[in-house]
Amino acid sequence: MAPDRDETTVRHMAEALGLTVLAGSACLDRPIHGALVSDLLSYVMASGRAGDVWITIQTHANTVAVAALASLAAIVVAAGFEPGDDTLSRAEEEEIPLLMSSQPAYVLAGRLFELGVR
Amino acid sequence: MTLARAIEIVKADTIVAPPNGQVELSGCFAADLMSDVLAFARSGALLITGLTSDQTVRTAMIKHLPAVLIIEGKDVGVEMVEAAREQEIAVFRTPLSKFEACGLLMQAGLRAARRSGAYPA
Amino acid sequence: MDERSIGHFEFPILGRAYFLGGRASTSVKKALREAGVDDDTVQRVAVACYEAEMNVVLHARSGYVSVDVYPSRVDVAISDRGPGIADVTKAMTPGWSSASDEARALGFGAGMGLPNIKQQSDLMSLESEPGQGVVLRLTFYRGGGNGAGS
Repeated sequence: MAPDRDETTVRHMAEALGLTVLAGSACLDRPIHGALVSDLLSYVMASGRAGDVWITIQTHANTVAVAALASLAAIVVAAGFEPGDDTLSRAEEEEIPLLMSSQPAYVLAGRLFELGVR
Repeated sequence: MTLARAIEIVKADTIVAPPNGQVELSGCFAADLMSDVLAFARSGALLITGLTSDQTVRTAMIKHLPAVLIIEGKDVGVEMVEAAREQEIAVFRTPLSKFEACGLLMQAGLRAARRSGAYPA
Repeated sequence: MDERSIGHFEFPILGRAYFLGGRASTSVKKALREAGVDDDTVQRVAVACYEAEMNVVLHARSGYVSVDVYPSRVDVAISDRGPGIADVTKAMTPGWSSASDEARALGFGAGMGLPNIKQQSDLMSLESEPGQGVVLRLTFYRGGGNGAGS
């Protein structure tokens, strides 16, 4: 499904925020419907909505499983934390875009908010 | 930015008032993992968190963070309130999500208060 | 141990008492401040103590923290009675954790504890006796420390 012209996609976010794409590069045209900032997997399981971008410092492979279950648009790992190979391969497998940035979660949230994501 | 201004921006209510009146914030730190706060928060920052436990205020006390902002109108237990009074840490609660609270505060010019540097050293 | 201790404090830590976790460390912080230790050192000791205290709370039955202040350094020992650490090298790996979901819900147990402690301290030694407990010894040089606390 092609995204609406004025809708923010994962690709658009990656470019605007200067994120590095680590996995799931085939799925970057997914539209972003919202965002959540959390380091608690249980919270994301309970509150994540389909199409949300998840900003976190968690790098465990379980984050990908949680994102897939909740049909999230992408995971952005903040503050320079680096996911391991198991997390990367899990993201490819589950088709979840996994991106990273050296910026703190606070800044990434602020800049995504600035792009109009709510 | 003053603490009072930040609290106004995120439409928060006061659970435990700051003991020293006017507080100037060094910036903002958003986290749920207290280990992250312990390792990387700069002193003087507002801590935005979804973690409502007395660990939150003890971590704030250890790191010289004057105030904690609880998100999404979460219940704050009596243990947390008592710990906050004891450690002289202000506690506020906003109905907003952490994402929205960060977005509004960044937009208003409150900067990040995260120590840079690779982890771990 | 050429210098004489100019201040000694001990505080107990209760295993499984999640709601009290951090009490010993906030007490250590206050005691060091009152002893006139510089802010950067106080900060580093307090952060390391907090992580170590949470390790005791999350994994052991009981323990205590003992602090000695010297003119040029602060020595801290955190001892517990508990299961010990099966694989110390593994436990030192950032991101590795054997903590329960309960611990994770408290905002700990993300595998940052021991790496954090190492980062904050100038010297660190960890002795584990499986089935008996753990003794963690830390040294923080006053003033000219590693700057992790600032």
